[in-house]
Amino acid sequence: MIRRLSPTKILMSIAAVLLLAGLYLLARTSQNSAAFDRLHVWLLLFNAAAALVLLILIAAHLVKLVLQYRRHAPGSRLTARLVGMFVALALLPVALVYYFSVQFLDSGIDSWFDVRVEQALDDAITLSRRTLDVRTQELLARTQSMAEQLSSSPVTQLATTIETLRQQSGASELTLFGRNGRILATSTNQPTLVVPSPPGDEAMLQLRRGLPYVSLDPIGDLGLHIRAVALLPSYMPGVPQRYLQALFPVAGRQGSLAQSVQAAYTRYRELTYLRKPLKYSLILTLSLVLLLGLLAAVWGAFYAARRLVAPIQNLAEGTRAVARGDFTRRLPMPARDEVGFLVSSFNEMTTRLGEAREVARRSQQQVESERAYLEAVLARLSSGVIALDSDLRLRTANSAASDILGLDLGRYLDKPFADALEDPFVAQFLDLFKRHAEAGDRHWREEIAISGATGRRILTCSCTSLPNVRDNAAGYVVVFDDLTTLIQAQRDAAWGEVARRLAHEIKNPLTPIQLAAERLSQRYLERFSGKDAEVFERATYTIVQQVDNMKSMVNAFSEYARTPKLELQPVDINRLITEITELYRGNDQPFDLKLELDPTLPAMNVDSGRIGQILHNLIRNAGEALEGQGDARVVISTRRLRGTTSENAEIAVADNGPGVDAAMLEHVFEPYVTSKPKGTGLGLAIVKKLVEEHGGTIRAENQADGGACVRVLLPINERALVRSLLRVARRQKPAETGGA
Amino acid sequence: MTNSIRWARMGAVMLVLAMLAPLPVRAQDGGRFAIRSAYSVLRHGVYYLNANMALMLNQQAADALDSGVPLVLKIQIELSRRRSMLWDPTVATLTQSYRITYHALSRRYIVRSLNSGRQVSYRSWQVALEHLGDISGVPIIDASLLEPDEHYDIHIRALLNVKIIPTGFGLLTSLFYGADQSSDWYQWPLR
Repeated sequence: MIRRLSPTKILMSIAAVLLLAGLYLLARTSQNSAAFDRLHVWLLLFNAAAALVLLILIAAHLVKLVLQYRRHAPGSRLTARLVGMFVALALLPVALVYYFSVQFLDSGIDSWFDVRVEQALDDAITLSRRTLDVRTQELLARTQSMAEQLSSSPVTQLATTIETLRQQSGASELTLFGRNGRILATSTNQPTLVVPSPPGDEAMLQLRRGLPYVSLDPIGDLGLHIRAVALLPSYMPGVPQRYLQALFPVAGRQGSLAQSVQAAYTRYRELTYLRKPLKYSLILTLSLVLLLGLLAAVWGAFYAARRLVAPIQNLAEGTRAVARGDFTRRLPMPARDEVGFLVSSFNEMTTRLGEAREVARRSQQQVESERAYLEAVLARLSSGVIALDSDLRLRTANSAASDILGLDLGRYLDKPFADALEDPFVAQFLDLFKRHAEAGDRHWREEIAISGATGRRILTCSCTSLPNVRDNAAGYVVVFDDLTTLIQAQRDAAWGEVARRLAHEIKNPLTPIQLAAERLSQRYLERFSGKDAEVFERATYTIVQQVDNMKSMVNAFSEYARTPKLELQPVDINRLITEITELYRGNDQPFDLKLELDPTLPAMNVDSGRIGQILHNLIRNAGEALEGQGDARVVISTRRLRGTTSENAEIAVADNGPGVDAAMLEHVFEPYVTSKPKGTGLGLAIVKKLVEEHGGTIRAENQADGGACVRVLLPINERALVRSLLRVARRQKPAETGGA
Repeated sequence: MTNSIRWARMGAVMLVLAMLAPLPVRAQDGGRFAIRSAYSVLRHGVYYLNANMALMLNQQAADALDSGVPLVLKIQIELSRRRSMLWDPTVATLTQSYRITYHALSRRYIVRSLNSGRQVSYRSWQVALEHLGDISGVPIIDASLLEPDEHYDIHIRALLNVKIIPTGFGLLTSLFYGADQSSDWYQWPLR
């Protein structure tokens, strides 16, 4: 199957081919191949640039590897080991080859330049020169002889004579020059030569001295010649000096040998001259080739090591990802070998793990959803529900349980329920619970009365054991309701009915009785005298007086039974208290009135008239309790109470009187419960009724340092107020139904 | 860029320099290439050049020549038009090239003109260069080819190269022996 090559691989292939081509051409150039001479510099630069690029690549790889090694990246150690091994395997043979090649080159090139060869060549050239010198001297003598012959030749026969002499002497060219180098006659064996070769300046200088001139002279393409120049004898003074130049070719065997010796000598000298550059050129080429090969091998080592390690590195990273809980990681498939099989198994494993986790997540989501649903149901129950495990650790509690117990049960979740023992409600509840647990009751229901500082509370409590696990109770579910307010509401409703009937049944006949008694007194008193009159008057007066008292009592009952609509408006409670207490500040007051008001108390939506009535009743009640006491003192205080479920304002009216009898404490807010000799006994009952109309609660307690204290709790925020009012209405409705 | 990468790059440069370090580059020993004088004359509508140059081989070039390595002498002549703001464009160029070789058998130095093919031999390279340095009546350009309102300059210089085959050796030889020589440009206005 044909696999498509990636752009990186294509680039690498092209670079490798270029590199090989560059190295090949460089090697050819170093072998004196003329074809690539002009490319030599460029090839050197190209290969040097390639070496530089490889070096940079290797350096980058090396830096990356070092950084990975230092931070213990997966696979870095294995990569380093493989690279080290590859480099060592490549470096050793390359170093050996390089060393021996350099040695071979050095000694090989030096062996070309043997001293004996050099001496032989020098001797050969010297011998050639000597041979030619002899020949030169002969030809010079011949030229001088021809010059003498020409000197006697008439001018008109010069051309003929020269031609004859040239042919006889074997010269290739014979020329007679006159004054200023003017050609007088010439003869040559080359018909194409138009102008004869003139003697040079050196020859002329020699002639001016009166001496002949002879020299070996390579002439262009004609080869080596012997140039001989001789002066013609001058017999007549004043006649310009003439000279004859003869060119004799060094031809035949002697000429070819001379050319051969010349060529060999020149080539050898040239090679000797180029010995060092040649050596360095070859060594440089060899070094460059080996360097490139070595760098390519090192880079290849990095590449191969990374390719080998990459799947293992991926596996390590994949394993780490799985350890972190990431099952979505899929590893790229390498070649279909053992590592590929391993990667495939890993991918399959993570797929299955991912699916298993997804199933578990869905199950957990379902459980969470059901749990949330259950909690929502529990939260909306008006009954308190708590769940305890077999060690009586609190597992679940709804908000109604916290409300009923007046305790933030959230703080005790997963803790022993006994930790909340400081609360008397919880302590008594646990006593009852343990009693039933010890009795082995798995299901029980009981109405319990629990006493505390706020009075007596009645709870209905039902407990059920959760299903057993290996004969051990897995826990308990306890459902309880606070019946205190319900019972109290029933009682209040009964009293209200009594009051209404009293007002209706008793008040009506009182007025005729009173009128009848007054008429009796007016009409028949004057008919009596003395003692009878006195008795009669006292009796009618008593009747009228007692009827008045009864009227007052019936009016109080009527007031108690009356429930007008609340007129709620924002009221500053502290200010209202201050205004009302001003009425009690006078010299004739038998007690000292002190205020301790909380400035953070906000304005509250209340009926100011009824709150005022509450305060009047409580102050009056406290004052009556302090009658006859020397240091009588009433303290009115307010507080802002921030609870976990609601926020309330507390108004406390405390006195330093004798306090309330403990037996009476829980009945003080019921009608006709009073310890005072006078009064209707409805004052605190009305106060309680007014407080409950505002959604609040009231309780009485004895203080530790003496005296009684009545605490009124009113909800601050509107939502809490509405909720409290609804709760009051809900409790009153069944009470009225029960009363009816 | 991290320090490691910077060090790696510096190391690469040092390595390349180290590869070239064993090559000994010799300073030029003696020798002088200079234009003593040069002028142009207008004759029969043609500008002719006359120049006198001091051409003396340095020891390296002389050794190369005596070792049979040919030398190439180039006389470069350029004619440029003068401009005030821009560079001066070259109007005409003329290069006279001579190949100088040593003939060991005859112990003569052969000078061959690469332009004309004419060959002359001398008993010493000094004499040969003396002749080559004396330029007389070399035609440069026809006056009709020049713009009458423009100003022109003539530049001349002499170059000597060691002619080695293959050229790769030439590069190394030049690095080794420093045999190449050249004069400065000599410039004068064309009149």
